Amino acid sequence: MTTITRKMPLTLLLAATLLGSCSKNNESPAPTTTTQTLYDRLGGLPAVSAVVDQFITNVVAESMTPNSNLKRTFTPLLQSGNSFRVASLRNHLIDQIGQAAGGPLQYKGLSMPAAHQGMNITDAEFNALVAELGKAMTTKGVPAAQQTEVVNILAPLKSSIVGK
Amino acid sequence: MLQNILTSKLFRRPTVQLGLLGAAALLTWASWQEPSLHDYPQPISVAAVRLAGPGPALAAMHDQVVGLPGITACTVNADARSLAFTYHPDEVTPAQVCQQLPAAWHAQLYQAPMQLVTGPQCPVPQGYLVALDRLRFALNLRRLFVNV
Repeated sequence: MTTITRKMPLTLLLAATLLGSCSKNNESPAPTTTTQTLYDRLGGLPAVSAVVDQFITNVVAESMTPNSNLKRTFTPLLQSGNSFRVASLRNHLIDQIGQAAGGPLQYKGLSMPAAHQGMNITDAEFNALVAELGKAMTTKGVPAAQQTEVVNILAPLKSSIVGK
Repeated sequence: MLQNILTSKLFRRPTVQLGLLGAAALLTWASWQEPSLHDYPQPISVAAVRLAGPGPALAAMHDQVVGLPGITACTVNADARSLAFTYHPDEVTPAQVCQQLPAAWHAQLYQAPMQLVTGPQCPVPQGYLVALDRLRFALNLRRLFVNV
């Protein structure tokens, strides 16, 4: 009995840390509404990651054209040993589109002004990027109405990205 | 059952207790934050290929490439004679994709010229950070309660 009493604090500590770490984050309460979010209507994570992958190949292909608008910013994706840049871009896009569309998890990256600080993104570059996102959604069969919803969610970010 | 474990000689050993505490600390660290959405899908890489085939034939290539195992997306730009694709690195390599393309197109993997990086850089190799991220996700117990 004494042994059990002595071990109880350790056991309780283990249980408390595990339960505490698994508790739900108070900052992101589960949605209580029964209507489907845009994230669900798009098709969830498989659809979001498919659109993001298509978007990346579109951007890379565009950056290889002679009069590319995106070459300046996205050429490093194709430099040797830069596969982590691609992974990082993809990760942030999946997180951000997922959260913006009402997905279950939060984007934890930098704010848009901080992420684009010093990049001097122009209007033409931003518009070209949005065009490639639209093409990616079309290629992956996202209906026009949902494409508009996605663009409407992301469009307000322009002022936080262009000219920083 | 619990009583048997708590009173067992094995559990009374300091090394075992330290090990359990270490495991709990590891799980706590990994589960401290919610996982991210990007942790769930398989990682990808991107590759680009220069081609020398006729434009109309290149445009028809999209379905052929995107149908290959391990390819997640593909874009053919007939005007620029280029092909870009994302792929799962543990399933296929860019060289294998090139081998699947008709020889007449003279597919050549493209890499952009390196640029000198002058700014500060992270001293920790990116590969370590990615590995640490994947370990944290593997041990993150919260992922069991998230439906993506």
